Amino acid sequence: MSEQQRQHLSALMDGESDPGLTNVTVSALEANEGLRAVWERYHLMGAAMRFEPVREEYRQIAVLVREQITTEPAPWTKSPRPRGRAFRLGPFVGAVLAAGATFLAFFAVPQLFSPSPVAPANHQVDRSLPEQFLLPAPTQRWHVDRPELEDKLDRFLVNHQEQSPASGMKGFLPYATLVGYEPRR
Amino acid sequence: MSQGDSGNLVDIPTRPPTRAAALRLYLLLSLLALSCSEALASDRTPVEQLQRMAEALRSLSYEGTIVYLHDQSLEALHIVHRIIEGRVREQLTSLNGPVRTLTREKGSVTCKLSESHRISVPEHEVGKQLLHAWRLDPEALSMHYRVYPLGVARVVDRRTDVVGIVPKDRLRYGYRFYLDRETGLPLKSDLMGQQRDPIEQIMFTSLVLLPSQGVDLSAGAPEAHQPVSEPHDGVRLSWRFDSLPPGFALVMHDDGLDAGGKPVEHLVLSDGLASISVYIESNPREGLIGGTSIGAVHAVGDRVDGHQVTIVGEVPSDTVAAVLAGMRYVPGESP
Repeated sequence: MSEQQRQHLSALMDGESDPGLTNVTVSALEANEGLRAVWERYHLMGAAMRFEPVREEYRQIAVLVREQITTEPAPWTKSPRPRGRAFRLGPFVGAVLAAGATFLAFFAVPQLFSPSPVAPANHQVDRSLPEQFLLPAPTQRWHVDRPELEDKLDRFLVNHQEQSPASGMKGFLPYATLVGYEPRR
Repeated sequence: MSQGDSGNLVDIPTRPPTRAAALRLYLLLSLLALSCSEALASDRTPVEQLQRMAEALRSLSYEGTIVYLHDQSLEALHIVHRIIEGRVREQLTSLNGPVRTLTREKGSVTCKLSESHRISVPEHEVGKQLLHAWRLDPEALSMHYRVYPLGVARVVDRRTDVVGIVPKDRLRYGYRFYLDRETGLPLKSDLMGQQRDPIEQIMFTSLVLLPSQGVDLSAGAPEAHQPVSEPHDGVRLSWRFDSLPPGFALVMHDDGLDAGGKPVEHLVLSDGLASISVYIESNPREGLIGGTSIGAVHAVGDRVDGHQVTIVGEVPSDTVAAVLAGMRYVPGESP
């Protein structure tokens, strides 16, 4: 595992990966157990430092990388996305993070994995309740069962709102549909 | 008090008004006059108020909570809209259900609809010019809409003037904007269809005005949008619209790439207020066949002359269907 690979991994995690290097990094991640361990540690540390409960999936997060990458921002571009802020982990910072990860792995993370006392129980709703009291079940946006088509229609809508001449005239109304719309069955 | 000759009548002596009584009368009249003036609508015309609203949206920074009502569902969103060094930065976050965000920054819009579902739309040069060059054209608007003052109302504890944009036919939606008397911002918007009740409503429940750093410079000098008869880049379109809904004209053509890098042709039609996008793909893996909707946005798709055509717009379903029905592939011809 090279320092360059670590830097690419860090950029990938930050969403700052060069599009041309993404596939290479993901392939390296799949092939290199050490890189996968680093990837998982980064996620564990991030969750711990944000005081978030650490989900079990974080321990197998590398398995989900490919899936995550394939659903990353679907650009509507003519050219590769410009690079964002130049935040990269240097060797010193990497060493500090590694030490931090060791500390977290032994002390902090085990506690985070313990069941939360306020975690909601898996309630079973009494089926005898009147129907009007039951919470409406969420359904697919656009009312289509094909995620790929749903994704395409969302992209079309975002692009449409951004390109429409009078979108600005309607203030935030057009974007409320995108963000606030919660379909109900 | 004295008793008269009849013995039954009581005479109340009249006294000249004292200074205190005169003062009370003056205060009463002043309050009455003030309350009347506040109840009166602004002296701006409705069109001037709409123009002021567009300017306020370009120049003001604000933060607040808004509620969004659709299909008897009530959602809450948080919005931060800042003008920093002449550039707009905006973040809209859903406060109900799954966390969804829309971020407008550095000329691009990123919409995160779920943990794994994120859409990024970078700035398009053609679209940017068109988007920001748009301004309210009263003459063009009057062909298919009427603009009315609808009175005054109180929203989020602020006085607003209500302006209605009423369509002249069923092919487009109308609007009611509740415009802040002080700033011109729309504090409440109702999207109106043919029914008595609004299709969608959105309203601030809290609003904090923030200091702005200049007007959105990307807006440039506003100019009235004009329908174009030829694509901007001079390329002749391969598609003809045999019959567009009245008032709609082609205003933009752009060639982009989809998520998989395949070309997508994008046409925008507009009547000056409502807009419809036409997306044309040569051989996509997925395509919409038939109609669907999300809120007041309707979409319809079909295979047309070997291409997947998808129409999307915040217009009634009949309008997107009419656009699709009139499309024809004619290689080498202009629309």
